[in-house]
Amino acid sequence: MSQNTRSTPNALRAHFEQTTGKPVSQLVRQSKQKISDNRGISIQVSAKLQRSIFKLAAVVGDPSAEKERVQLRDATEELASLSAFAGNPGLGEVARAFYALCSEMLAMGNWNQSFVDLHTAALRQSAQVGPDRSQEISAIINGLNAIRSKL
Amino acid sequence: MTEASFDKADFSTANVLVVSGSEMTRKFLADTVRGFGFGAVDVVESFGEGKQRLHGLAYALVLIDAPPDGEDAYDFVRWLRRSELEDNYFIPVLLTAANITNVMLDHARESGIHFIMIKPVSPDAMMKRIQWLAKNDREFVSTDAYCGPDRRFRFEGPPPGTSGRRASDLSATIGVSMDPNLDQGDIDALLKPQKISL
Repeated sequence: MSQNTRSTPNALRAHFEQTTGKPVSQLVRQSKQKISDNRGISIQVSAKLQRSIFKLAAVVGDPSAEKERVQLRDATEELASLSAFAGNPGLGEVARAFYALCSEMLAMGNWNQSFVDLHTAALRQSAQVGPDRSQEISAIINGLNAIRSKL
Repeated sequence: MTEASFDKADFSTANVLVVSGSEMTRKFLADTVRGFGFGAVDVVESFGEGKQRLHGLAYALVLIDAPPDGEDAYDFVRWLRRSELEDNYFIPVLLTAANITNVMLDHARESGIHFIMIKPVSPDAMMKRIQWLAKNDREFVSTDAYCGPDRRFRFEGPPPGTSGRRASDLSATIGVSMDPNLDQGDIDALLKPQKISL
């Protein structure tokens, strides 16, 4: 059996050949800035943490609570995506705090429909701190505790 | 093209299609590629809308966020690969997914997706994949069973004992020589050791 193969244009390659090109490192910086600007925050969380949170959120909760799991997944994905700017390793305490909060909420069966808004509020609160990581961690934990207190 | 030539880019005349059912992911992926300077970033919520957009505009890249079971994404890509849309049927498709199993990987590859990224996705990682896609020169395969980029990343010849499945595969049978054999002196000259400076 012979297969039909053909060469096709590589549209992306052409854009790397432009004389007006900017360094990709600059384009990546621009992208990070746009992501930060559009969310009104500049958060620095470790890549390790983001993966921990993401994995935890994927397993937390009752499998039948699909809607809540989707909300939780979206919220943690947002946090994890924002934390993709890398930084401080081993922020296990934040991951544990988040996991505990999620477990508690789902165990109570009292899922707050505005959880995502509260979660965003927690992130915005964390944006008020400076570059010191311990302050950021504290702000995130405080924000998460604020969410818990509203339930 | 040398390695260094992929260190600069101008995407101002390139269009990207982003398809995701999650608002957060749509916004994140769109912001990421807008930050890279892509000219037009079309963001849609459903694969149906995505199909409509592909009929109207030539894209350089499609970003798809896979729903939990992934099937709609794979159907969409299979449709694209067989659509015969002159400007778009072959374009790179990059899939993002939260969790992916080996079965999902197989389905994604067999549907004609170029690359899969596990979320969360960083701008650095996205740019690296775009560079890889730009360097990649795989041919497009069209058969009844599969339509999409050549799934081989390396080509080391057809499996032993076979003649290959592609029209471009060379036969393993070497024909009769048309030119005279080299004499021993010519062969020795090819292999003559030489001093070099390291």
